[in-house]
Amino acid sequence: MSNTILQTHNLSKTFGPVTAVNQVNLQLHTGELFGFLGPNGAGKTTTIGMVLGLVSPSAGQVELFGQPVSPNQTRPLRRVGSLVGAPALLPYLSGRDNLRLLARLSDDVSDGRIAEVIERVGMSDAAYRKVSSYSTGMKQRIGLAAALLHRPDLIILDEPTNGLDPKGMREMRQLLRDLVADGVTIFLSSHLLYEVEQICDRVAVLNRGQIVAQGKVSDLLGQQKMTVKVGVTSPAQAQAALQSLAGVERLSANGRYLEVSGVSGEDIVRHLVQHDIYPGEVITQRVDLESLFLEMTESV
Amino acid sequence: MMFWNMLRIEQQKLLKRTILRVELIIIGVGVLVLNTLFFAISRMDGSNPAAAQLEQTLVWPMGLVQSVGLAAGPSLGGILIVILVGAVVAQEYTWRTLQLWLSRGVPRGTFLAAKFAALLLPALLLVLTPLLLGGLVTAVFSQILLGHIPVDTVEWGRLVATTLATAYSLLPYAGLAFFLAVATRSVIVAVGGGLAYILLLEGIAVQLLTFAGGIWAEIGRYIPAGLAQGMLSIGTTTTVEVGGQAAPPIQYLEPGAAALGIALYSVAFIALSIAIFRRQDLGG
Repeated sequence: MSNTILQTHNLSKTFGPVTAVNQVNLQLHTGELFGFLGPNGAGKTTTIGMVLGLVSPSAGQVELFGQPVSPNQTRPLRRVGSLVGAPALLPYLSGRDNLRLLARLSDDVSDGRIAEVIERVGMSDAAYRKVSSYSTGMKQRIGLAAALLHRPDLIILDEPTNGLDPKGMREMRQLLRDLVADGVTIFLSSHLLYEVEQICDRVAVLNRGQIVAQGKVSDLLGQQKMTVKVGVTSPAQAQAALQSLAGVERLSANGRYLEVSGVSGEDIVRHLVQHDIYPGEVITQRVDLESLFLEMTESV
Repeated sequence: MMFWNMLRIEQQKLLKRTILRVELIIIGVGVLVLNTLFFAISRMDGSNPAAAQLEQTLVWPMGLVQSVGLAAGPSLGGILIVILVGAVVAQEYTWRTLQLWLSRGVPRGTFLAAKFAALLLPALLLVLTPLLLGGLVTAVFSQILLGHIPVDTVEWGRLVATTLATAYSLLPYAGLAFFLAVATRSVIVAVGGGLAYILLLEGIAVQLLTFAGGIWAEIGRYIPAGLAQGMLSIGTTTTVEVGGQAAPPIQYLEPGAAALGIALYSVAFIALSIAIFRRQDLGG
């Protein structure tokens, strides 16, 4: 596909007997904001390491901009900016001097551009201070500035909101939206599922080294059945009554509440009333990425 | 192009390191203290022939050459370069800054080659500092002891060659620390291993090989300390004492052959480092 910017083919990595990444196939298209989700130890950082040519795949391959990438084939990475884990900065230099050193790798990064990215990440006041005096959030901001510096076509971010306060997180969300609006493709690995749901076009969920879901957020959420929570005074009686309701896929009791999936709240109320049971509360629970994520990663 | 960019970047990174400044201060203070100490000793008993001989090393031109000698590979210079290289290279693993450069598309071989090439600058600074400070203090001693500074007796070409050769003699030690830092990713192992080699292994090896004689003594000429001596002490021999007995004198290699040997050591360490680095996983 011509607009595919990043593609992995059966990407795998084993460390001795442990398979950290198992036949991962990812596809990123130009201009999209792609979320990469998974619990700790799922293999996200190892996958990103292979994409960035830092880790050799045991099998499979990575293609960036149509060209293969490996630890010894790194040319396509010149069009990539990344912030992976804790920002890698020289602690004895200021934030600005770190960026000035990085700028030397590209011909078209001027002092003006350095000042621009520093301002964009909100570090103008602290850019002249040594990195060793920065908080985690400040390092994160300079790390992000480093990723933006050379106007990359693809930005790979691994937990970019780590250490940021709520205001910083909101600014980060806005910045990512702005970058996508500018035509930059973003690969975002994050634990903050609500954020990913809000800003990402497509996501992939990785669990135990394997992709368990990949697609548009709306499609993935649409595949999930809604859950209806019903508050009743006699849960045992209501549960018995609902077992005869056609379409019920899951039925469980939790105190005076019943959780039902597969049927609408309207159908449940009608059925209970027919059995002389009058629910005091009916809550239709929205399926969000978090519950989808938990369902996928806990069920494997 | 990428190599030159990386070389400039690595040089800038090095020149801003506190450890380099501290090492330059150490070697500068070292040459001042040693010369002052020798001057004081030589003035204690002026009639002693040994004192007169010592005075010779405190005035120009010998004073200049002696000062530079402190920075040689098998001397304080070797110790300082091992500490500098071990710390500078291995810390990049700890800080994860290697990942920063490599994930921007810098080829691994280019990165490491530029990093080693950039170390030539501090190696030269470690030799120039004692030359300048030693030159200054021995100029003062020359004025005191001789009543003038014998500028006309200095063979400037030879002094420049000695200075460059001394910096060059640091390369195998820099290469060893570089290799240990890349192979182990540990500051402690790189610096500790390098220092253990200079301070213990190399000295013991020279003594044992010399005492064993024959082919073993021959091998002793090819270890870095022997090569550095061959390059810096043209045509001289050194006698080593083992257990109170004088071992046969060591006939060092000719300067050209010694320089080639040093180059081979350095290239071998860099090549090994690059081979290991190209296979290293740097994620996480």
